Amino acid sequence: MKKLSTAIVAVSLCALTWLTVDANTARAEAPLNVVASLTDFGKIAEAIGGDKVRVTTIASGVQDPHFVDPKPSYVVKLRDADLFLVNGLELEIGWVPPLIDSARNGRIKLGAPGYVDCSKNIPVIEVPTGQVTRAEGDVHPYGNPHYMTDPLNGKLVAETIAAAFSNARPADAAYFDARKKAFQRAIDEATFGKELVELVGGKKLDRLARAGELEPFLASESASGASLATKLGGWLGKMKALHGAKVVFYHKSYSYFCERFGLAVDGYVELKPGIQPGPSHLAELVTAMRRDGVKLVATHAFYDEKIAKLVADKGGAPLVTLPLNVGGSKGADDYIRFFDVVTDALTRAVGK
Amino acid sequence: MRRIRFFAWCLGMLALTAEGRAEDFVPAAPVPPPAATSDAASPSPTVEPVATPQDQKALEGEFAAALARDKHEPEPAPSAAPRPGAALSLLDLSFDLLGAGGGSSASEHEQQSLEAGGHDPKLRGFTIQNVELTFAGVVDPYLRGDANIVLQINPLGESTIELEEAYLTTLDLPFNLQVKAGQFFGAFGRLNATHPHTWDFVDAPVVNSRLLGGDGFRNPGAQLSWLTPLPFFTELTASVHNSQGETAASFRSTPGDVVAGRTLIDRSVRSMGDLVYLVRLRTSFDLGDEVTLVPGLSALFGPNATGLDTHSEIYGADLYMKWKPLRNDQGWPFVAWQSEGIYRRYQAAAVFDKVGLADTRKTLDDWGVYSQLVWGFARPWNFGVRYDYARGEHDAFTLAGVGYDSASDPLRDQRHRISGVLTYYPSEFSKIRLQYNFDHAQFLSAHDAHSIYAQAEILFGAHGAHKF
Ligand SMILES: [Zn+2]
Repeated sequence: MKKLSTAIVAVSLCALTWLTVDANTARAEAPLNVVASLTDFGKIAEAIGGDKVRVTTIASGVQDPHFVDPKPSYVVKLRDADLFLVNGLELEIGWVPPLIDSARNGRIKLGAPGYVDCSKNIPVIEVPTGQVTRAEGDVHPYGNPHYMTDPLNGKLVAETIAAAFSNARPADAAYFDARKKAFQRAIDEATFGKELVELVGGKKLDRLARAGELEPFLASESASGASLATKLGGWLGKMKALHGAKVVFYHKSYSYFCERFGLAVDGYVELKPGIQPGPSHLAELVTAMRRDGVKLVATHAFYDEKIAKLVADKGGAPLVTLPLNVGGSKGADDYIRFFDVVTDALTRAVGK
Repeated sequence: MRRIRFFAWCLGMLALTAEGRAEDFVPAAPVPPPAATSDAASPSPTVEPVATPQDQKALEGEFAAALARDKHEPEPAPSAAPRPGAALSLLDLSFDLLGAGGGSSASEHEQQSLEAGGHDPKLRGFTIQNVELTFAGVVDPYLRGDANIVLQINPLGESTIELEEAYLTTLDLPFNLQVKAGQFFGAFGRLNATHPHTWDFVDAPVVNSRLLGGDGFRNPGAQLSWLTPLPFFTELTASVHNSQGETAASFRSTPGDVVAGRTLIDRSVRSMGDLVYLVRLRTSFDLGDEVTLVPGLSALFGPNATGLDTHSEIYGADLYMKWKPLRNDQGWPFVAWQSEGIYRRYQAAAVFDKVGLADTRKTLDDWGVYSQLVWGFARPWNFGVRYDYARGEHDAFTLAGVGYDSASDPLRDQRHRISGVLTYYPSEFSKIRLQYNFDHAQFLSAHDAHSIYAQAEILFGAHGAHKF
């Protein structure tokens, strides 16, 4: 009996050593093992990392990122991760901390270099001030966490991810940097239009757009006889038709998008974040929609469709179901196509 | 219809109280939400020319009807503080109150055995099942600490305070290892290590309170767990604990207590073999994106105090299966099926009375199972059913020729229980529940018992981690 148990212990120790040694030698040359909490970060990581990284994503794009089950299979993904990319701002508070706790992986624990909070460089909006209690529902206390709905923020996230990659693999820093620049350039061109980016430069356009000075700048400048305002293309050009349009959203999930593209949010189906509204709030909302001429109601597929539909019908506006993350609806397969799909859906709905 | 109207009224009140408070964060939003422009104190119509008060009332009615079937809860809201560059997180505190009210057709005396769990309602009337203070925090780069202090009011009306758990957990051991040490619940099966406010039913399964003890198996000790490098989730856990006290009911337990006609003696620890050892294997598989399977096996070994050299062994098998569509509305709908079977071999020493040998040394086989299905059919409602079966061996022993007497030893009785439960979650931090139990047991004078309990829970403080 004693011999048997000694043998078992010896064999398991050998196996353990072999497995860990094997894992350590493999780690040096193998692609970086990157796990992303959400598809947006997964796709950007693929774009920047190329064949130097292997990316797995936890939540699928059709899921509500606030509510993901911390399944044991995700623990296994994180156990082997070199880097873990998260949205941060407590969007994933219900599921990322228990996953990290169970993964027993020092490389990705909170505060380790492998734990990459993608909100790090983001100018956060809608940060609550004063006392906040749960009586107000799910107020994200660090501000609105849905920053990926502004394509310009995608460029900042690319910066964060590329820095984390280069830190983990200094030898490949130039590779990551070149791919990051290409990605950022692609976003600029898709946002402002290729011609305008070539005329003005992406950096300057980004700065002007963030400062809210893009329109006056374009109106005041001209190139080869034509006002620059006529050169605005891309998603911003496409969305010009909707500038100032009043819209109603289900949740405050598109605040960054609305700010970037000049949509005026007239109200939310949710009275308080995460809490289903009562009939009096909805009746008031519909009344306001009729009064203000709201152009559309936007929701996500995971929310209660019946209530959104009823609000849209009663308020006399079309209902648009938008993805919240990459992969959240048909065709939104990467971060750029996500905005193609969203801007298409919005312009189509209002054009009707 | 009346119920729908009541709901509508409740919702209206909810919205009414809501509007008086601070709006959601919108400092940077281009246009304030409409509620801010209307009279905050009144849910009834504003001054729009478009809608008359009648219109608004009619609209409210329509929304009320549409809402009556599916209502909602808040998403997790963490402890609130603005983000001044960095927030120092030192201590997470939370408070949970769990209470029940109801009664049984069995007498109050019988109810104490019918509901044998330490947090079960044992009285007609009200029970403060569990008041729990939770402390959690990261100690340093290597350790985190957790503690739960439990307060209760026992059936005699006295307040009790208990150090339920207080332990450290390592954060950064190599080889995917983790150590836990202190006072904590043993990782036996699925239910044992969980707290009553996370349960799907008002009371504990019969087999758990019988074989692992009314409060579950927990004792000071140390645990090592290993997340294996296998491609699917496989975790091996081993722990060693003290073997005495009421939280080690199948082991040395409390001297003077009677188990199977044997009075427990004051047996001391003479070697490592007199401690309790636990091993557990837990794995998990995903069947597609929407179904997850978590099977587990557990075992406990340790001394019992019917004699100086008697031992107990407990074996358990458990299975958890959950279906939840990817596109779910804040967690709904889902179906979760959980079952556990627990088997105990209990060596009972020979027992003597005034006349002489009353019973020889015996090994008693006691076992039981429960299986429960919880269906989250519409947010925020869950419906659950559970079947319980448990039996203790009593044919094998006779005391002074009398044989087993279920009335004096109800915890060895053969029992069936069927339970149904309906739970409503106003938010993730509160719940209201109604449960019905049908019990069939030999020790009951009527053999059958019908019980109904309502339960309520509130939790405030830090957002606890979700377990799977
Ligand atoms: Zn949100």
